[in-house]
Amino acid sequence: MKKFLLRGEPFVWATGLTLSIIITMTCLLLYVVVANGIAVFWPQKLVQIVLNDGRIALGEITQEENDNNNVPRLQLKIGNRELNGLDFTWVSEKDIRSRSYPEELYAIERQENGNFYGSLAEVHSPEITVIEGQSALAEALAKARLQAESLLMDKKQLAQKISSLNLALGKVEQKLVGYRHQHTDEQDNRIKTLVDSEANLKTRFKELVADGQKNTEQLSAYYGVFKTGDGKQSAVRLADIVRLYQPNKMNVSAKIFHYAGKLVELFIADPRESNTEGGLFPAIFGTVMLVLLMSLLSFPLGVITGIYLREYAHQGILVKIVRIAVNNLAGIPSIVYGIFGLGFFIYGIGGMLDQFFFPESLPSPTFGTGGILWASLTLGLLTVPVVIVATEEALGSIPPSIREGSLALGATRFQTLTRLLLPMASPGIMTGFILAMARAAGEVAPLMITGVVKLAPSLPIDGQFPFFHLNRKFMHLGFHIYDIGFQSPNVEAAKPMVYVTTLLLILIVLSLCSVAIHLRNKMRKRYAIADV
Amino acid sequence: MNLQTNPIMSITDAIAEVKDLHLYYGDSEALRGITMSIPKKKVTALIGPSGCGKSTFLRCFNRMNDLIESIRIEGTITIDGQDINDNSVDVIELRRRVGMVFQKWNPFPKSIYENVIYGLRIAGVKDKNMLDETVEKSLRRAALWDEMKDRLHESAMGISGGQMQRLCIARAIAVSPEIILMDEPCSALDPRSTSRIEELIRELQGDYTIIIVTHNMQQAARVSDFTAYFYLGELIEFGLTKLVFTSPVCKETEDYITGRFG
Repeated sequence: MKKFLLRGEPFVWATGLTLSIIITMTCLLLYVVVANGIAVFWPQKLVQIVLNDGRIALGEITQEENDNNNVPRLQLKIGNRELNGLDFTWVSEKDIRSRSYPEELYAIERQENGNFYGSLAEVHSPEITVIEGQSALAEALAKARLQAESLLMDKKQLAQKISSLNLALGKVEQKLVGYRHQHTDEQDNRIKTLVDSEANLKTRFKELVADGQKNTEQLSAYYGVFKTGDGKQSAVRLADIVRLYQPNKMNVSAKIFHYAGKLVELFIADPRESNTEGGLFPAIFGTVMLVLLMSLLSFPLGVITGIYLREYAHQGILVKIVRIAVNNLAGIPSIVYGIFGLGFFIYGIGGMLDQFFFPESLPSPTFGTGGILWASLTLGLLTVPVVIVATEEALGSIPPSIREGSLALGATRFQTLTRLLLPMASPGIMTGFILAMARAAGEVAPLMITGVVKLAPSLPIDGQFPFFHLNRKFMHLGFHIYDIGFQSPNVEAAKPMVYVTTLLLILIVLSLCSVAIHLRNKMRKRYAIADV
Repeated sequence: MNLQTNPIMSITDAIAEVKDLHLYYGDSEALRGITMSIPKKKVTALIGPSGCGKSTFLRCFNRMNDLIESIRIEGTITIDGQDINDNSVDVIELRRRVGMVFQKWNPFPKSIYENVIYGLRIAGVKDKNMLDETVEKSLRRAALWDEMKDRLHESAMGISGGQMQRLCIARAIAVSPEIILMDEPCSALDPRSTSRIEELIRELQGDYTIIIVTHNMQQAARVSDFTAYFYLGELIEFGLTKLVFTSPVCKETEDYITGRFG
């Protein structure tokens, strides 16, 4: 027994056990996210359940579990929020008389009020009105949707025109405020032209709004009347329909097509319905841009600091203290960084910028409020210690013989650094950088007070001069998860989106890191030193 | 001072003169007043037990000791009449004139070609022909050309230890130094590679002044023209190698050489 202990086998087992616990937990987490996230877009069958008391429930089965009395029950997503008030209901297994899957049932994703589940009862358009026969109705619906298409296009164009007009108006007004701020004479030509163009734009704006109203009226003539399971009827305007499908009729290829369509929407569309539906494009964009901006700051700063600490600083007590301080910096709660960012970057630097460069728009702030620049600077501060430590370690692990060899050939310290040490240290520096990036991409707390928002009206980069709007607020996947998962009025309806967003965030972090890891491995191969 | 100079030791053609050199690591004195001349274009071996200061002494010639903060040097070393510790001396320039080969081979993680011309690259030489020529000349001089000519652009990390050490010698030669310092260049090599390096040293002698630190008595006897025996930071005996090994003046030297001590 003593021998057995001496050999250290229990210790080996313990290390193995710890590793397997960690792997299991990681896998479990990934499994939950992937299993829930990946199926969200797969069209579910619509079930029509007849209850013992004669009522009919219609919807997608979202969950099955045992209630408090150990009787199995189903959670149904019944949609039709304007009629039911709630999207979800629980049905106890013992109350169910029968289940069926009628093929004519429609699932409709709408701009508002969530999904609608039901069968088609009437189709109305200025030219056609059909009120009977499922196949005739389906045909008429397709026709009416086609007819409404051009009006819908008009609607989109109008919306675009209105938004660009809005921007132009905003610019003119800002200039005007600027001149008035400088107390320019009201009779000045510049002011006069501005006032004229302001008036012009406003008339144009009114016209567009009137056009929009007309368009809406015309569109409202196109609608379908749908019947719910329990016989209630609801009119759905075709303009409100985002996607319409008959899940019980779909074969596998149709389902795959549907899935792919939803996936594309996820990547390119804006969110709808207080973020619980639609796409994630602004959040993806915000997250990636934030991480890249953060890297631009934290990488050079961290590497340069690391170089100084390891290569140039006199290795005395002061450097030791600095090193300890840097290590501790990595352990400060991230919300503290957020508060620092708010105080120093936003109120301090941002407020100063506003006073010097944008005094005309005060008291409404330009840079003195949260924005992607300040958020990425804050994250940069948060991750810089990781890069510093990694740089120091990487430089420190280069054998002194390499430095001596270079110096003995007449190289200066700087030449030694740039030609040998940095390339050789680059894999280690990259490792630190990967860790920093992964941390930054997953960080939410400091963002919440430095510029992240639930719904950003515009992206930080767009076609408007000067193209980069670093003062703009932005959306972020991590915050999105928090927001729709915990702040949404309809948490149950948002659940699938939480999983999808989580999966996406993990995938983004993973892909950013794999690019960095690939780079690191390439460098590692190139600058490996001989096995000595 | 118990320095006893061998009667033969009147060096007429010296490249470097060391006068009363003291070196302190903090408070401890590592070199206690060394005075000697380094004969030009000859091989001088420094021998002595571990910790006697011979490596430290060697590193004084290209001021590698500058890298250690706590070191203080008194006395003078002159190369071609110039005091190398003088403030006006450019240490970069000095190190180009005084090359060094280390105990542990230290090729850079670059190609063989780039290793050889590293000294020229950092000196700002860009002429491709000149670089090519230097590579060939240096590798030939280091007896590596035939082995390496077809793989110049492969990584220097893929060659054997002996080849790496010869590559380091080629790298030192490439900047055409006057003096080459060798700090136990063979201590980590197998006998076969060792004998190749020794051959190489014999060949280089005559063109370069070589100062070699070695623990191997036979090696010192084989490769050097002059031998200096150090003990506890002092130069005990310095003279023609054959005289030092056959009829040492000092008792300590004799004890060390014959293996009774050390």
